[in-house]
Amino acid sequence: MAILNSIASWLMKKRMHQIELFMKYPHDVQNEWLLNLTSSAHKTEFGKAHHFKSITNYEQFKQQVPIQGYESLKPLIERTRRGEQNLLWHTDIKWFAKSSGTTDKSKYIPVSKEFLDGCHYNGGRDMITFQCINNADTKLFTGKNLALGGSFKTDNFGDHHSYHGDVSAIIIQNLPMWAEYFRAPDVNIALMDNWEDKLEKMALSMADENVTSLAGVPSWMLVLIKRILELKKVDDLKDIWPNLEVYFHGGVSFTPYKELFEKLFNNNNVAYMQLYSASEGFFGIQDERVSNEMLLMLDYGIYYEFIPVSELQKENPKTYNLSEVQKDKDYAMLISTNAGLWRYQVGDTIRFTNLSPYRFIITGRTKQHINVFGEELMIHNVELALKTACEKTKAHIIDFTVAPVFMTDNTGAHEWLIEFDQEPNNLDFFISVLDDTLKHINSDYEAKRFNNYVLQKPVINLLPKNSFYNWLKANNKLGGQFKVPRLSNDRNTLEDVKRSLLKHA
Amino acid sequence: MKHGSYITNGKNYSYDNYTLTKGDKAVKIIVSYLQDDELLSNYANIVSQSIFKNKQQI
Repeated sequence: MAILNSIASWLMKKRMHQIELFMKYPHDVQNEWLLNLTSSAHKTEFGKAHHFKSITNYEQFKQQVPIQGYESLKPLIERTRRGEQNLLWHTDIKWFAKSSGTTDKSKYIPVSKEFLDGCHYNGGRDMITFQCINNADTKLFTGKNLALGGSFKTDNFGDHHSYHGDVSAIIIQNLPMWAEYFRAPDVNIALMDNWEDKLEKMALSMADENVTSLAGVPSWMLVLIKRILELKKVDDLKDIWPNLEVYFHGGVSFTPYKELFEKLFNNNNVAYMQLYSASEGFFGIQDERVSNEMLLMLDYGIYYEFIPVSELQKENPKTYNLSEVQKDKDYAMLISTNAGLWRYQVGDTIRFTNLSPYRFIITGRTKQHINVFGEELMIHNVELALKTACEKTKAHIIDFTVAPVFMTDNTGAHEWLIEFDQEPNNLDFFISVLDDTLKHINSDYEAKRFNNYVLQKPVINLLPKNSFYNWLKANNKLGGQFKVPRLSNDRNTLEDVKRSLLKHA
Repeated sequence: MKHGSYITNGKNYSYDNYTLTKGDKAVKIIVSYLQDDELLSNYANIVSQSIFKNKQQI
């Protein structure tokens, strides 16, 4: 195993030269991908309709191809699901990543072979590359990578079969053999449909494995680890997985979970590496230990464009390519991919923290913010305020959701439903710190809170344990990529969670 | 409130900064304490709670 570890680590480190290349020549690499994508798809229905053959530069591309959302691509996607090919991409597409639909109904994102290989598998390989670079003595390949995944289903349209499922399940099902060798649990467990049975079977099968790395959404990883500790009747994860060295996480912000994981890992020098991977693509990896920023991955077959958040509501928003973005500004991301998404708005907002190389942080979702009273509350504001309030009151959070509440005709407040793993030692103080931190980091919120004229003090409701789990379960949303919508401009989610509480009372 | 941390002489400190304003006047209160020291962190919390409760008077 030690020899295998050395060979595998050496192979991974070799990739670093290619990464350095796109870090050094980002615009050339991106321009090359733009032309590669449009020339590959110029004979598709979409490519012909938008004259891909004549495109030679970015200016032409943005003039000829309008910005797309899921709804505008949906007719072509649905036809592809039913067996027609060469509509959005020139190679056959049979797989569709079902997006978790945190803010919308489910979407079916096309997955081509080029996309799986060039984007998701490259992403998976690169996260290991960075781990090998950051930890010269890595023993990653002496054990297994425990990956949380979803499941997939077959769609029968007459004679034609296509498949849809979590992108994680599509990745596991199509993994190359070398990667399958290092992955756990067994594929029959990893792709099980019933999430509760799957977690139980995963816990049972992984408790005696030599796990060296973990990958998955923090909320579900937490449930799995707690169950394993329970099964083995130990408090310290090191007693079960002494060689665990890194946790690759993504899907939701890690900020509210970090303290819980640190407690679980008990200072065992387990590194954290954030990934920005979604149904639509693999976009970023935290390449350095010292900061939470992620490196934008530029050679995965994705062409990136950016819309400043201030332009989002406009009918014809300005769009910029990578060479035109500025540091410290929030942008919504548009992607064109080698699976046939064209100028497609992903739904997340990011902020560049460095332009050479291009490093960024995720600042929120274009549709996950609260702006009912003009407070422009973004998810990163909320997470930082929660982290501060938790630190000051020794609390740990499982999950939360926030929605507006209208008190009189003119004023309102934010109503919070919070499930704690450990409740604050002083709830009034928790609320004060939360409120005051929000005022400090968001001037719009501060202005609306002034003298309680527009916004009153936050209303906090503490939920019993497992409330969000029960709500997800009731909505058939148990699984690695399902998330609780944390900020909403309406009260639908919040009221639904409250109704679910009554059922479980 | 701005909560954060810094290192001085190899020791980790936390700080809570408050800026109270009235018209064009402002008072800045900085509460700084040794991290992981339960007693000092509790004192800091008492000061913080007092600031929250008495903002108007201050």
